[in-house]
Amino acid sequence: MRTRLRAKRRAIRASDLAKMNVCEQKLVFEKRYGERFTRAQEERVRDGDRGHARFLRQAFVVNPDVHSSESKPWCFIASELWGEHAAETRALRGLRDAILRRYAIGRAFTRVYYRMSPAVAAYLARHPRVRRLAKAALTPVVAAAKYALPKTR
Amino acid sequence: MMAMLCFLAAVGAMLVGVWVVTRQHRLKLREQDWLPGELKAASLEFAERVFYTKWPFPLYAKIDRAYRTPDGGLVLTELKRRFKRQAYRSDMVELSAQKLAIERGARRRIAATGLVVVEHPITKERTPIPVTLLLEDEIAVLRRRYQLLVDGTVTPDKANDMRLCRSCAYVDRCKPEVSLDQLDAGRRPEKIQKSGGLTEQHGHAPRRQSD
Repeated sequence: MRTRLRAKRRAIRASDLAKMNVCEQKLVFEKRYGERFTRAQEERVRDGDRGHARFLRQAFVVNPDVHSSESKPWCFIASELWGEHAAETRALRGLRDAILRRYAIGRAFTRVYYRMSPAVAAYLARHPRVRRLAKAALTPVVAAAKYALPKTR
Repeated sequence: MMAMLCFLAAVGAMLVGVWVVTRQHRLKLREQDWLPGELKAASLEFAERVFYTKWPFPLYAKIDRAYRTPDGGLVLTELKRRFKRQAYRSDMVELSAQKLAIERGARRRIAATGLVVVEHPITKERTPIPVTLLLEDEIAVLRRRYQLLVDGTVTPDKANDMRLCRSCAYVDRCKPEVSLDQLDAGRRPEKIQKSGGLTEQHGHAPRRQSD
């Protein structure tokens, strides 16, 4: 067990090998002083993350049963509207886990939602007005979830 | 009144269902647009999936997507957001390391050619660029070099591309002799020019013979 942990700690990432081919000096600095970004780079990283999130969402549209290490299944629509780790998204996740999962009809609803929501989320990403409307429509649900959750726990 | 409301709700739900299904179909078709011909019949098997192998050396790799072809092999794809429709050697190395992690860690057969999908940041247009992946021995050589660099046994090469240095957060530590004005103007200072020309892609200075 301890050997395996040590091996995992020593493991290198495929992206580190790729970085080595861009600038070895930068790789060494990053290992020595930690990763550092300029403001422009930070923006590029955020942009890249958004692009990858969309790529993943589209993967679920193409094949809902695709194997992924990302926390699956997510709240696609809430993640699109507020962000993956926002308090609102967490509240809706809590609603799913604490209330919907307890009942057959809730579980059925969740299954249908996971099938349909990637397409809806992709639509929302391209239509800011509809996005604002959806946000307004879901806000009472989020408020209700925040109100109900502490009582159910 | 109640029956009327139920009817309207059912019709509304049906319309929403039809809209979502149509949208899903359109999204699927759009997704197929950028795929090269040989992958049109392939099915998407992995997305953002982490693989780990401890042999020939401990290696983690997170793949963007992998498509299963009808013959059972996997084709790896790596998404990059760039204005230039170009694949670099670093992309090839990353895909090759992913190949090694999956072949050794999950015992799956991976195609010798991977795809770098270049997405334009504004138009979102995707261009797949096929790249031939490195062999296991070549990756092992890179890994040895990596270990030597991290241990501080060899002197690291510096990128010889002013555009890279301009956007690097370590430039003050790495090239204190270069003023930011020079970097902004994109001029190559003499000291760096002497170290040699650009290599094939990202612009490494040529490797020293002693390494």
